[in-house]
Amino acid sequence: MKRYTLEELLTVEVSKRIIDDEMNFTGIGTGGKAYIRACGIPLVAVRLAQMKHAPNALCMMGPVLDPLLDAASVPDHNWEYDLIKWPCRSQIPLEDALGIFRLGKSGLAFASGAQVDKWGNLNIGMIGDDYSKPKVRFPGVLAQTDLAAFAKRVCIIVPHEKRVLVDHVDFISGVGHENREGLPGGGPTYVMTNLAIMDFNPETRQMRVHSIHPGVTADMIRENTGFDIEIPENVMTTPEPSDEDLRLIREEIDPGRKFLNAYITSEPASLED
Amino acid sequence: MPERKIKLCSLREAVDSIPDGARIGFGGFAVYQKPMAVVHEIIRARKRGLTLVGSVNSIEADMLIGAGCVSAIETSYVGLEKFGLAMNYRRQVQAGKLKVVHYPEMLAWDRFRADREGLEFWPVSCLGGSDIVNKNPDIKAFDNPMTGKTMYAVPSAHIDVAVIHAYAADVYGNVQLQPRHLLPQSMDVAISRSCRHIIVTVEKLISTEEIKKAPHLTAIPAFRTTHLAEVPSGSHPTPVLLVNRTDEDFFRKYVEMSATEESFQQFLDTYIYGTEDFGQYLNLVGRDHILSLQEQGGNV
Repeated sequence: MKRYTLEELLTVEVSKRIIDDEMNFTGIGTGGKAYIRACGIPLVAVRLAQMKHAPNALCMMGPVLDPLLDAASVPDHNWEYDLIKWPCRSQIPLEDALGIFRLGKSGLAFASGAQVDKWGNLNIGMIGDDYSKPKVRFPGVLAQTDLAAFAKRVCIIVPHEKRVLVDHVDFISGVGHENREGLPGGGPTYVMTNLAIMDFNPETRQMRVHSIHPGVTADMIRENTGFDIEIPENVMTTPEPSDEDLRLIREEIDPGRKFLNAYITSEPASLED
Repeated sequence: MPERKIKLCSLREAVDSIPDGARIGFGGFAVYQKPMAVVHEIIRARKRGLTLVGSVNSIEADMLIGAGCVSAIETSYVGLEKFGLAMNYRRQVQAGKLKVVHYPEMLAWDRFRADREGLEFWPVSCLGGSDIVNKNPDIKAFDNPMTGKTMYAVPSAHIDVAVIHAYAADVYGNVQLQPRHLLPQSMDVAISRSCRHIIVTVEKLISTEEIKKAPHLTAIPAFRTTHLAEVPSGSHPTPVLLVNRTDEDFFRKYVEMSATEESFQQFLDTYIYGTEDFGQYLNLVGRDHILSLQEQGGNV
């Protein structure tokens, strides 16, 4: 049996990228795998970073600032009327929440999408060539455009599949490094999948492999990527989580797997299925 | 002394004030505190050609779309969150029958802010390079007169009518919100300040004396309200914060019955066209079941 799950591996890697004193941002999330990627992993990662190296880092979950992640405080469900009773530092009125973005005060923001291309452009809007008659229509762009424009760094967590990691997205709902037209934020910084962690080559502005998860090969990555992805020679292996990290996650932060397996959404899931 | 104007009316009277083709904004947020009783009455009145303008929409938009009332929607989201996809919405967009204009979530709120300030547009700097602006001729680029940098003018929401389900009001239309609130109630306030025609349904009527005792809770004063109706559980199956919980069973039934056009027609025939008003609809859902959704402890 493996010592750790994919969710735990990604959580530890995200937590290493949380910087002290920064405000990070996730949505409130929906359910299942989408919740784990957009909300569960980020919330646990920020808490782990607070406990290890970044005591002043915060997470804003929609309008809820720094919800307390300990076994006693976390509500059973992520319904709004449960959120309102969840101990936290502040519940920020919407217009203040907008201002936090626009003043450039958000550090790492989390995003997902149906497609991500080599430039880091994100698509959570639609699939197809005809905007007025899409082949597939998704629920909508939510706040993705805003966070891709303003956050200092954006972390994208998606499944590693050819139809997800594409050469060019069908609709740009979050702007990558192809054409940022002077947007103030840093744009996509990390792309994390079930196979690897990617970053962006500052010279080509395109996605490249930063580390390959244990047990995964470079060929597996090429076969599951929809464009010719740069894999540097001597690319590193993603480090396995330490025993202490696993203990903190399993015993102190998320014992009920409410976040990393979405039990809080009453639609539990695993990214490994 | 002449009488003060009473805003209390029937749901049908309130809905009769909405013309075909109107631009409508709904209060609430996502799957929370949506003015469903008014939505049902709009469907019964067979309104057509509506444009829905919102930030995060769900069952209220999907139901109206499935009933053929809507020709366009401008929003950041139409879905049922953890219950799944809004299938009427998806079917009609993919068939090319419904026009959708994407406005990211924060811009969607800015559009109402513009109206509140009496502006034609709200200036934003976050759209460069995205298809949000490339595919929307209504958003216009302009040079920031201070810096010369490109900015974008996002058109105001410009709604003809706002529809809100709130906690309580007096007959004159002084509308009280819960003392604690999150996004759904923020949206109620935002849209109430952005337009002149406001239809409010409330969980309960209270006296003007009670309103005067807690004026800090009157987020929508009577001078804004044009129509008011008392409809307990008027947001069913969506919740009213601290009053009624979500009807998860009914949401699942909705998802099941909106899976195909045929089954959704059956939903409409049973629950909307087959009932005379929202009270009959709640009877059909089951009064005991509705009662079981009340928040325990009950102190708002």
